[in-house]
Amino acid sequence: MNQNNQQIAIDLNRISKNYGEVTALHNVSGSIYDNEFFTLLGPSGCGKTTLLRIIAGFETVTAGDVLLYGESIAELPANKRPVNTVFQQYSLFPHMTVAENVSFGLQMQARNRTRDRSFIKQRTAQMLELVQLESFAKRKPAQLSGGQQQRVALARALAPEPRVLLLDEPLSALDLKLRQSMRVELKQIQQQTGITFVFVTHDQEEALTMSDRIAVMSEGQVQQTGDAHSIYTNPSNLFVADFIGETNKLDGVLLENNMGNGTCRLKDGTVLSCTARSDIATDANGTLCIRPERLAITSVDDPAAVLSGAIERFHFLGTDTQVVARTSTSEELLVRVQNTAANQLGLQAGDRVGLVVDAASATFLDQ
Amino acid sequence: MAGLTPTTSTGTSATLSGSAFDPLRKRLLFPAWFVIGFFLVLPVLLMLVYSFLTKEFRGGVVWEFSTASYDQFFFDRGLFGDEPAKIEWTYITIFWRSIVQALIATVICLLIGFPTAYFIATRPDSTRNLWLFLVTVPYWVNLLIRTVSMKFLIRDNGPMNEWLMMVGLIDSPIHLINTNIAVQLGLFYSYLPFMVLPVYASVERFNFSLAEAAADLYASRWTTLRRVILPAVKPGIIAGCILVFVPSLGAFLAPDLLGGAKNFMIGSLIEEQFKGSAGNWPFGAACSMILLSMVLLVLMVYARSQARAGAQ
Repeated sequence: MNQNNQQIAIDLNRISKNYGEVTALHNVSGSIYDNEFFTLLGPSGCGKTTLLRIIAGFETVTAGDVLLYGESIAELPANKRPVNTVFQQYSLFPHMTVAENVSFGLQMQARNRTRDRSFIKQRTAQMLELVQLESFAKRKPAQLSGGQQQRVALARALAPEPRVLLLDEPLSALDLKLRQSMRVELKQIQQQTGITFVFVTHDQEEALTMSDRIAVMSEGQVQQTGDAHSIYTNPSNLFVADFIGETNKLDGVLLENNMGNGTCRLKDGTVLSCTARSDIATDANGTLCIRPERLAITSVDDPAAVLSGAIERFHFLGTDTQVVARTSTSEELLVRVQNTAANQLGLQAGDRVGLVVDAASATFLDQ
Repeated sequence: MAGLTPTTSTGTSATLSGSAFDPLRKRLLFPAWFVIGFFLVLPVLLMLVYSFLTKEFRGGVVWEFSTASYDQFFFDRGLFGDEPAKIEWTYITIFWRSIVQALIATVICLLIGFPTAYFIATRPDSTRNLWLFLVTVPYWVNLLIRTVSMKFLIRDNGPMNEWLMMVGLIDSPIHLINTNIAVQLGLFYSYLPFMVLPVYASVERFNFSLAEAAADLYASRWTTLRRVILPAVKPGIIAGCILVFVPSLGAFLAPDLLGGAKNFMIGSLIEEQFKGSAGNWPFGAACSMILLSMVLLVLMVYARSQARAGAQ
């Protein structure tokens, strides 16, 4: 991706937000590009919703500035910002029909711009078609299912053609099947309309499958920004490694660091090669992170095995089996094994096994 | 539709506990039936019967059927009752004035009460109850005493005028006693909480993320209020209006003490019929029945509009 040439849709410039003594956001900076599906991912209370509400104009910043296509919007009230929001609980107007809900923004715009009735009608119909709710135009929101209300909320927010669409955990109230199909649909709609989406979620799977780029947030700060692949494979700190997916964490010391390729020694004395950020100094204490699917099980005396442990139990997960092993220093190791015909393990709890991992899959993190 | 679930569950428990409970249940309902019958149905029936009896000159009634009271209310047949019937405007005027006064009082209570209720409902949880308490504090004092105090406050040489003159805002006292404005002040003061409390209850339940959604969709504050907040809190506003309008219509303390003879309202008219020996019980009863019919009409229109809103 050639993001350096892309236009910046939203520029967050050293944003801080305090509620009295509590700091919700601390010095958050970052850029969201035009026509991008950008996700703010983090546990609850990390400040992601606050950041979204600042962009929407429902909250003011304590310090910093928000630029929308190069212009500061920090002082603009919510109703003057060309951004629209899909709310977590949808917030549909209960006394209006579906069509009235969808056309609300257009009607409000019509007061300031030349938008005639026929345009509003046509655009409303077009939006209802986009979310496949043409036949529900005359219903009230209370007569719709959760998934349908979700679509109305989406159509209502898209109708006024916002420059940026903000989505505040829009799928969290839906059941799993519906959530999965809405993910695909949301992504398609984003690509069809070409509108920049800023999506807030605490669900990492949602973030990984839909986003062009993800900002992982924690404690009011952005921990790492990048595409799904780079965040998963190259977490920049322990929080990101831990929050995204599952990871094995082994305490150790970095023995040598040669431009990112290093070796580290674990508590039990095992020395193995790993990758590390080039700015981590040798002799630094830290944690070695290995994804469960990057570990392979072999026999204890296999010379390729760099780690060893005793199998404790198996978790059958459908396509995979999760093997839980324990090292001699009683650290837990998770290993994912695909349930293919060739992978009939023939192992039992209590068996001692060797584990293989390549240097590129073992990441040493200092915090 | 929503009522179906609870009905089913009570139905089930009734079947389980058996029919032995039913006689007991009927007996437990007796106090409720007694209160409704004795304090509600009986007095109204009594009024209805009295309104069709003949008056006794020293107050009280003669048990003889007569429509004279209703006739007296609507028709003027001259001093001796032998002239061709013309429409009697005296009482209709009093009623009309009462309705207008009550409507004005309702509108004023709404204009002041809605922002008050909105203000209270948007305070933090910790201070809300304090504000509500402050609104209701004066109502722990008897209505008569409050109305007399109001008279004392606003009379020509009362504290209000003295203070205004002292500050230099006016040169001569504002004459308020025995004017419509004084009556309005009295009604407003008497019934404001009846507006504030139901409106507060509905604003408090309002989901303010809807207001955010409206702002997000380019609506100004005023449009948000008009198109999103007001429709949502309408039931509370209507309830408040009824609770202010109905007692204002029949009020007699404020019009009597603050309005004087010129601003006579229904409440005073009825009160006079039952007071002392100059009264006319059947006529007072007839006035009450006419007032009651009007109130019921208003409530019916409200119920009809609610049912229509519910059906949508």
